[in-house]
Amino acid sequence: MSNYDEKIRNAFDKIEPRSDDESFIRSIIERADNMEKEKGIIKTEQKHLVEITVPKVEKKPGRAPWIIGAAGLTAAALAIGFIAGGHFGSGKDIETTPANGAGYSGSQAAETTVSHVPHIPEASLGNLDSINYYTEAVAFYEFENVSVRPTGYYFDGISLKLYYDVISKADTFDSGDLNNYVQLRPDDDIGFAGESEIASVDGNTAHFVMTARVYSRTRDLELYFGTNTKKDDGNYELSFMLDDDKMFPVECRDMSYLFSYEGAKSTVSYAQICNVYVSPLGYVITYPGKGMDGWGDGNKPESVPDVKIELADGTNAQTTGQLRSFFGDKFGYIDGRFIEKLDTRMIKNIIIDNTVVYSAPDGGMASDGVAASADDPSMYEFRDYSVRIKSITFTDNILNAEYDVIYPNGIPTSDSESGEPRVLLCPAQNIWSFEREVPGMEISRSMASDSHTMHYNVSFKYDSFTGDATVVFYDTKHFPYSNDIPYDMTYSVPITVVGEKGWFGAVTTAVEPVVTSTYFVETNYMQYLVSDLEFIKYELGDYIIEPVGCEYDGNIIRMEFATTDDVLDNGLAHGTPYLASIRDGKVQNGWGNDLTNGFRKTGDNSFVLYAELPAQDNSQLGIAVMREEQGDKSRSQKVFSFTIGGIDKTDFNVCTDNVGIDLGKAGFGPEGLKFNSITVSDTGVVFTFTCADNSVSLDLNFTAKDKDGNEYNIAKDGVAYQDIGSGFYVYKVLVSPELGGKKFTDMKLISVNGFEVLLSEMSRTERPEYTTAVVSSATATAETTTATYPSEADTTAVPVV
Amino acid sequence: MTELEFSRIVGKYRASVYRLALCYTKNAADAEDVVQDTFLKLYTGNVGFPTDEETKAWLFRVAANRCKDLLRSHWYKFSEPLTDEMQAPEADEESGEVLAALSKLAPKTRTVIYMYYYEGYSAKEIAELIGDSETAVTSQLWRGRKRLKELLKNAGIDEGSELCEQLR
Repeated sequence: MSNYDEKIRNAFDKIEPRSDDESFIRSIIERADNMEKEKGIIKTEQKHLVEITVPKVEKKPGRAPWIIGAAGLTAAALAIGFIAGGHFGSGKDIETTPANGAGYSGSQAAETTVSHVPHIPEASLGNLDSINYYTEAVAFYEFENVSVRPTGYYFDGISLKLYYDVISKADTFDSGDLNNYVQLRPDDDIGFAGESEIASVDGNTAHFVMTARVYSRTRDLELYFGTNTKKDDGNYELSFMLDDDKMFPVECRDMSYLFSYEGAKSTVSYAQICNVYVSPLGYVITYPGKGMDGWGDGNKPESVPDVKIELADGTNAQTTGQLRSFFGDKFGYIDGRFIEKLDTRMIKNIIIDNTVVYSAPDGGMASDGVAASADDPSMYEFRDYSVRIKSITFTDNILNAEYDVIYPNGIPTSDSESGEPRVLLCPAQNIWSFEREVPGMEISRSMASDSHTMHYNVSFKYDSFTGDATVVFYDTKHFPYSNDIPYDMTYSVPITVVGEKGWFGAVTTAVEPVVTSTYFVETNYMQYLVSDLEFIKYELGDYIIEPVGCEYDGNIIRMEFATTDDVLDNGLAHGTPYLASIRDGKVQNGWGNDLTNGFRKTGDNSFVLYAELPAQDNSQLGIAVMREEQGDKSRSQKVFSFTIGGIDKTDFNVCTDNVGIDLGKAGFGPEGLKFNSITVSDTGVVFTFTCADNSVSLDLNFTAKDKDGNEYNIAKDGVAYQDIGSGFYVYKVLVSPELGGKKFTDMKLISVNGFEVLLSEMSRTERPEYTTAVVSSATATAETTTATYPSEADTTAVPVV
Repeated sequence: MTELEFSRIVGKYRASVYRLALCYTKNAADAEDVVQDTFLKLYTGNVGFPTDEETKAWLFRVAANRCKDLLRSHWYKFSEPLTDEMQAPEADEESGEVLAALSKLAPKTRTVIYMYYYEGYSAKEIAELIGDSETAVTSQLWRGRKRLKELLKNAGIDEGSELCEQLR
C-alpha cells in the first residue's frame, strides 16, 4: 500500500455514520412496516378515499415548473382520497374545453367538498394537449394520448407516495404512453420525485406508484402533471397541504421576528421570518424569497440563525446541525432536522438568536408526565385521544380498570390510525424502570363504543404483588416499545379503593398483598409449554449468561439465568440483557425492544427476566437476548429460539369414553352443548364442544394433581370461536398440563358451567363403568371412575353444588 | 432476507455505503437519507446474493443511482447547504486537510477516488458499479489526483511531504 493510499484511507476512515446501527436498522424496519401497512391501504383504497376539500388552483403558464403557494386541502388520514372538482361520482364526462377555450366549465368553487368515486373515463373526454389556462382539481388530467388520474397518496413522514393511473386512449396501454409523466413534489420543490413504477396494467390502464422523498418539513405540496411529448405541451398543477396534525403540531404563524445578518449583501441588513414550523422530524423557518418584500432574488442569510428548542424538562431538542437554505419564488427555507423524533408537545420555547419566538401556552409537558394545563385530574391527554379513568381497583390480586378513551375526531377505523392506551400495574416507586411492570394476565376485557368514545373495562390477574402500586397508561400507537415511552405520553394513577375515581399525582396508595389459594385461573390465552429451548451459555461480551429455566403461560414469559456477572438489584453490573421477541425468524422491531421487560435479582449470580409476550402465532416464537452496554448504545445480541408447545403426545393417554355426550340445554341454547372431542395438540389437551348459541361462555372445571399428589382445582374459560354453519359454533378449549408454574400429572374435566360432565344428558339404562378424560403428562395413566347416572326420565343436567 | 442477516450486512457495509453517498452528496444528512433508502431497498426487495462482495456491489450500485437521482433533482439544484458536511469531526489535521481537499472535487471524481483508493475496486469494476465507462473512470482518477495535489499544496501541505510525493 502506498503512502498515498494510506492518506486517503485514513481520511475516509474518519467518516462514520452519525447514528448507531441499531437505530438505523430500527428506522429501516419502521419504514418497511409502514410500507406493509401501506399495501393494505392500497388494497382497500376505496375505503380510505374520504371527503376532502378541493384545493385552490392557480393560473400558471404552460411551462411553469412549479406552483406558488398552497391551499387548503386537508387530509383526514394517512391514506386519503384524492381530488375532484365536483365531477367525481357523476359517471359522466368531465366538462372541459380545449386548449384555446375559456377553461373549465366545471365547478369554479375553489373550496368544494366532494367524495371521490372513481369511474372509468370515457374516450370522448377531449383532446386537451395544451392546457395553459386555469386548471381545476379534477379526476382526470387529459393529454393527447392519455388521461392521468390520481387515485391516492400515502405519507409515512419521510416518503410520499402518489398512486395514479395512466389511461391510454387506445385499447391497450402502450409503453409509448410513458412519455407522459407526473411529478409530485413539495411546494417550491423541497424534496424530489423519485422513480415511477408501474404496479400493474389493466387493459388500457397502467397503475403507477411514484415515490417522492420529502426532505423538508414543509407541508405544502404540489402535483405537476405534464407531458414531454412535445415542447410546450400541456401541464397541470395543483397544490395542497398535508394535514396539520400529521406534519406540524406546532406552528408559529404571523410571527414577526427580526434577526440580523451580516454579509456582502449589505443592502439587506435583516430579514423577517415568516413562519416557524416544527414537526417531530425537524423544523423549517421560512423567510421572504424573491418576489416578496425583503430579500431579493438570490439573497440568503449568510449567518445561520441560532435556533434553540427548549423542552419542558429543561433539555433542548437535538438537531443534526444540518441546515439548508432554499430560494423559492415565495419563501426561502432554513431546514433543521432532529436527531430523534420529537414529541412536539414537550416544546416549551423556541428561541432564535436569543429571542423567544414561541412559547407553549401550557409550558409544555413536563418529563414526569404532568401536563401543566391539566384541569381535570381524571382526564389524561394523549396525542390522539384523551383517557378518562372511571375506576381503578385492585382486589384479590385482580386489577380492574374502567376507563374511556375519547377520540376527538371520532373513533379511528383503520389499523394505521388505531391507538389505545395500554394499562400496566407497576411498583409505585419504580414505574420508569425496566422492572416496572408486574407480570400478570389479562383475564377479561369488555369494550363498548359510541361515536367518539371507547369504553373499556379490563381486568388483569396477578400471581402476587406486594407494596405500593401504580397503574400506568401509555400510548401504544406512538410508543409501541416500552423503553421508548417518553414520560409525557405516560400517565400514572395510584391505585385507589373500589369504585373511587383514580387521580393523578405523586401520592400512592399501599396495596395489601393478597395471597392466592391454590386455585389457578387460566385465561383465554392459550397456554403453552416451552420446549426445545437451547439451554446453552451465551457470551455477552465480558460475561456469560446461561438460561436455567423458562416458563411461558401464553402471555408472560419468565426466563431464569445464571451469570458470571455480578447481579445488582436493578440489573447486571456490566449491562443488563433483555428479551426481545422473534417471529418468523426475525427479531421483531429490529434491535429495539418490543417487549415490556422486567428484571429481578434472585441471587448474587442469578436473575430472572420476564416479559409480556402475547401469544399470537405459536409456530415460530423465539427470544433474542440483547445487552445494552452501560453508557454505550452498542448492543450485543444473542438469539435463541424455541418452539411453543412440544408436548410429547405419547405421554398422554386420553380417554374418549364420554366424548359425544350432550351436556343438556340448560343455558346452552336450543340445541344444547355437545362435547365433541378430546385431542392432544402440540400445546396441550384440546376439548371441543359445539353449541347452537355463540354467546355462551363456557366455564370448565378441572381437577389436577401435581407430582406430589396434591390436587388442585383449575378453571378454564372457553368462548365460541368458529361458525361451522347450520347454526352451530365450535368452542375449543385448550388446557395445558402446566399451569401456574406447576406441572400436573393428571387432569380431569369435572364440569362445564356447573354441570357435571358425568351426569350429562345420556339415555342409558345401565350404569356403565367408564373413564373420564384423563391427561397424564408422564405416567400415561387413565383414571377409572364409577359414576351414578340419573334415571332415564331425568334428562336435565344436574348442577354440582 | 432475515433480520439477523440484514443486521449483519448493515454492520458490515453501512459505513462504506455512507462514505460513497457522502462522496456524491457532500452532505451528511443527504448521505444518510441515501443510505437509508438503499438499505430499505435491500430489506424489502427480496434481494439475495451468494457472496457478501456481490451484496456490497449491489448496495454501491443502488446507492450511486440514488445519489444521481438526488443530484438531478430540482430541489438539490436550487438549494444549498448552509454548513459544510464533508468533514469528519474527529479527523486529525492531515486527514482533515485531505477531506477538505476531497470535498472540493466534483462528486463523481470524489466517488471514483473513494472507490479506488479506499474500497480497492479496479477502474473497470468502478465503471460497472457507477454505470460509466472504464475510460471515463480512468480519466476521473487522473484528474482527481492532479486536482488533489493542487488543493493540498494550496492547503499548505509541504510540497516535499510523502503525500505530495505520491501525487507527483
